[in-house]
Amino acid sequence: MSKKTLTLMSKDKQLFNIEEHLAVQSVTIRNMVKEDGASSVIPLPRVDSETLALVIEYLNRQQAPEEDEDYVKKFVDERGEIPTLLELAQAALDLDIKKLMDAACMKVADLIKDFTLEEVREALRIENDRTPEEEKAIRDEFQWAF
Amino acid sequence: MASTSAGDRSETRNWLEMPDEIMGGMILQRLGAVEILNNAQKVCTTWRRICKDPAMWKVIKISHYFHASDSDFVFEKLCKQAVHRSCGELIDISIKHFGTDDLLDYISRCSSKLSRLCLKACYDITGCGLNNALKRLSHLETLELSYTSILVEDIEVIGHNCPLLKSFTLKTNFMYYDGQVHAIANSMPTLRHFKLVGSTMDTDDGIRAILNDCPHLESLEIRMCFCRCLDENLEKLCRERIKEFKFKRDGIPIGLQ
Repeated sequence: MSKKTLTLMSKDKQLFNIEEHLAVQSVTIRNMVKEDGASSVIPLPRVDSETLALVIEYLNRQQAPEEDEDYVKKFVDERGEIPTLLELAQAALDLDIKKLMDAACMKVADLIKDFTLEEVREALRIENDRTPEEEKAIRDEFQWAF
Repeated sequence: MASTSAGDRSETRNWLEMPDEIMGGMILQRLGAVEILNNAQKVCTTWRRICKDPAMWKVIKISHYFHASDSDFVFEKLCKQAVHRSCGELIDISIKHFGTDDLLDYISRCSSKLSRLCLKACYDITGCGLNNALKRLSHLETLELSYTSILVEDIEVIGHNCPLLKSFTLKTNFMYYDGQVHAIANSMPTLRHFKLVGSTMDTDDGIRAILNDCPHLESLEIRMCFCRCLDENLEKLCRERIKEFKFKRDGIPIGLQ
């Protein structure tokens, strides 16, 4: 008997096939399959094709359960760039794949932990938009504390 | 196949639009209280908003790595700020290598929902300070005390003030434990988990009392150095009665580990 296959569509309209029994590791997909059989294409409007390819690679892993923790860790370690990890975390949130989301977020936290303010802003392309009032509020807060 | 590389993506993507549950709950929270207060909250307005959300401060863990007393007060203030931000939502706090009775008093006044308190090597916290705080922490279910000076009387008061206590860990380098263990058996009948790490006990009577008086006990872990073996029958009884029973003699003075 051939295994049932599902098709996922990325934000940029690329199609990816994956066997249903692997895809249902995603709670989102599992619920869809339960509700309507998910026979048609499943659109993922917030996930780009590059990230979806990674998610599919992850879902297709053939790991023994006891090695799975290490595998997930290694999987995110090898994709150590913060933007890639954040995309992965967002995709894992949308698809509800908890282990992958945890690992990706943990890796980002590890990476930015020792960054200076400027390094964080640079890595995430965040502008310092704090107003003078906020600067003062932060100072006052610590005044209160000290 | 892919039309964008990670590099291009970071040019166009606004990461501040990520859901708060990822950026706040999953990433920034993991940085820890000190890092958030000293750094992350200063990155931008969005991160500051996320870092002020009381939900970020339900669990607080602060360790002072360098035991230099001149910076203790900085950690004490940071800890107060973190507790302040929880707006009473704090359920779990661990502090290590700093803290005074005054800090504990502050925590107890702000945190009526606290269910877990862990004090590790908080040498300036006294049994009296602890007991004053615990009077206000009647929801406490888990208490871990390491190298905090705890007298027999203190344990009785803890048992009285925290009727919901399910899990108690006591780790000290006191020479004799017998009195404390008896007091635990007498005053904490609701215990499900008990862990005792220390130097030695004179007799097995304390353990017998725990077995008799704490009928809900599911796990019992005892680690002693310089200790005799347990009586064979008692050890057998422990294994029969308690789901998880561990008894270990380390032979290494606690504190040098």
